[in-house]
Amino acid sequence: MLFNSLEFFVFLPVVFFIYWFVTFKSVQIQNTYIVLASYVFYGWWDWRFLALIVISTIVDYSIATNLNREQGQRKRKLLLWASVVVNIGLLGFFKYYNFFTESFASAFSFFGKTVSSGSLDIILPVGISFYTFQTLSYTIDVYNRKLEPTKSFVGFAAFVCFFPQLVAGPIERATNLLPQILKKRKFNYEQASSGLKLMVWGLFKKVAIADSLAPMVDDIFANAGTYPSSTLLLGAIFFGFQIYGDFSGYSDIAIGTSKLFGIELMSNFKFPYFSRNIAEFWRRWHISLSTWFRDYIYIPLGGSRSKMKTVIRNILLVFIISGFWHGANWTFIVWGGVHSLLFIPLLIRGQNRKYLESFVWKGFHKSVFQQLLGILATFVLVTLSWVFFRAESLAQAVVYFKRMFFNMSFQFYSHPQGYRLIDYFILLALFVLYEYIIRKDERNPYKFKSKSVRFVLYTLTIFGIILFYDSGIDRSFIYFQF
Amino acid sequence: MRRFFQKLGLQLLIVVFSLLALTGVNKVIFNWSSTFELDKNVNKVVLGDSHSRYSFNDKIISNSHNLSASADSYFYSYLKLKKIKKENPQIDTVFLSFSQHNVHKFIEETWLFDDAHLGSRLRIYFPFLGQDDFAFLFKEKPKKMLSGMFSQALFPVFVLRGLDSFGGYEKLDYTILDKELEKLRNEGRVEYDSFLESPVEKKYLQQIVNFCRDNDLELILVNPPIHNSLHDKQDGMYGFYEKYFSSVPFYDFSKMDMEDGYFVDLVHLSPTGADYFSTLFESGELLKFKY
Repeated sequence: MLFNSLEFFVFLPVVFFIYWFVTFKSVQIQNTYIVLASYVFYGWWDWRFLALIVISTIVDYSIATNLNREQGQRKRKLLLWASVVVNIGLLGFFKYYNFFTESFASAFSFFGKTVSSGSLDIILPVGISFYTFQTLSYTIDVYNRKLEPTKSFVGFAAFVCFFPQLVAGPIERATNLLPQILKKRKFNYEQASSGLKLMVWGLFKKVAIADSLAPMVDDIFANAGTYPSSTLLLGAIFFGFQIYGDFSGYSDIAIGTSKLFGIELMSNFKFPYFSRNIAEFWRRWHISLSTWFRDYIYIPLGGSRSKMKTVIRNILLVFIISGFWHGANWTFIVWGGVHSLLFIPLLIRGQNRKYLESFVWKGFHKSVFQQLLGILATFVLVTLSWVFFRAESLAQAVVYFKRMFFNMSFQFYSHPQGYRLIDYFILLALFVLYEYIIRKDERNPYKFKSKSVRFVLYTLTIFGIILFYDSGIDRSFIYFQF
Repeated sequence: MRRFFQKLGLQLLIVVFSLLALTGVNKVIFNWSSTFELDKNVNKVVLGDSHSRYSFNDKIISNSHNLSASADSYFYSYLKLKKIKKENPQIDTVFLSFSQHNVHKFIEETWLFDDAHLGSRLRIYFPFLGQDDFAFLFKEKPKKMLSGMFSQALFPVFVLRGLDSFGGYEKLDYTILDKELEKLRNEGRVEYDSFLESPVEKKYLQQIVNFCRDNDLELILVNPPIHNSLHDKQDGMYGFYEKYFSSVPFYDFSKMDMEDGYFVDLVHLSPTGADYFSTLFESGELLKFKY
């Protein structure tokens, strides 16, 4: 079920109503109900894959319980590896099996041997990368004794499958989400109200920004070999906004929906396009994933406390794995690699922790021009790297870059459905301006003192959603494929 | 909780009432400011899709106005015809594009019920929809119509003043004939591979026939020229015509002998092609193409 579908507009009020009026009596009933509702939500796509979530839940619940009881380090390690093998095994089979067999076959053919790839017709279960990482983090935290395992199986099941963040995150940590799930939730007006507002803003980003740009991006990337460099540059910029609107929009809806059920999820995006360097970008983009990699891969590998050589190796590794997490394609690996190459110079020059303040650009001061330049440069680099992310293959990305840089020409691009391009520029300019105004708090996009200003803004946002919702584009979220 | 529901309800009510009000305002301004009146001397209109749009140059064909619009199915041609006739009683002849693809089943999935297409059409044709037309679309695509109803309220249709927004002759300034010929050789074209009649298009073509009969309009089906590589690939439509609409006059220009330079692609005429065709049409030389 998609957040932006009419089905969800029926599902959510029904679940909300029953949650607060029928199942409010005890935490067990609330959690059982959350599990049921989440299974319906997930089963709407393909009920067969519910089995994978159930397997993941049972395995990690049992392993974590045993990890807590077990004192012997060897046995504990074995248990941890069992969890890693099951979770990564499922993910590996469903997501990467064909990639590895095909890459293996290609490697052989490169040396003149023909090997059948043996690829299988495997459907990728929606959200598998997200919930696998979430359950893994629970087991690792219990192993590291950072967390006491829960005794409540239903509570744990609710943690794994909590529907607002099940299919595309934020990838929650048990230390944040589980205590909230194990406690009875009480309705809080402020929380529910801010949740609704965040949902509206997220939906606007998805529908008005991402979905309205999608047909142009699809057209430009599909015909990259025929378009002039100006159009290809436009395609990359539009994709940058599309993926931001799509994914941060999804995260906002997920966080907002959770608030309606009395649960606070972590922030996943903090206005990443206002970042002044790549390091800051990664503290603002898909935060739940980048902190996951930091905590469970980068730090165990030695983090930044090792020799510079080791740190660089770790950074390279983390970015490449992070790229590979997105999809079984060399394009994502290269995308991760490119970001590591952009990050490493900052690390060497000690500038990777330069901008740590939570919101960008606190007022005008001397360095405004320098900051502006940084924002622009970061945006350009990120935008160019998106070409790898969006391209179907490395060959397509190469064609795209070749034509963009070595075939300089300008031509006005016309929208596939005949709409005026200037309207999209105005829309994006207004969007960037609004994001700049609200940049202090990513969880409250309508933080204005005046009630009437807030009211007008909600109404305009809702109108925007309605106006663009009708555009009739394929509305599934990009990150569902990961 | 009560406060939450009260505020939510109030916000929703305001949105719904605003949309209803905007729909009304839109319609009133549209009806008041938009005119569909043609010149008094125009007594012939051309309706249909891009095929007729780029073929009939109404500057050459006397007393005519081409109102064809790209990707218009018969459903929209029917809506347009009703409106035009109402405001232009002098109209006595309607030329309607009739080609293989117009009555092919695939049109239903693309030009009629495809979400994107329906959404964009609904915005401009909403003021034209009668109760029956609305009910028909709602029955077929309830979800889309529901969202479309809200969405159209926010689209200021009244800015589309006059007829030009609803179709008209245009010159095409591109050429992709070679590319299309290669594609045809490699992949074929879905509407010519096997003919499957469209019940919906048939129904609305029949509505147009009935409307013309009831309003003393002479309806003439026209199949504009297509590239000779497709000449032998439209047999399905002849069977369809003979079976259901043989009483309606039909001029089939599709197999006219025209050189490649007269086409921009396989089914659309270039400006020179359109001028050549329209001049012949005007002179009456094409009467021999009566099917």
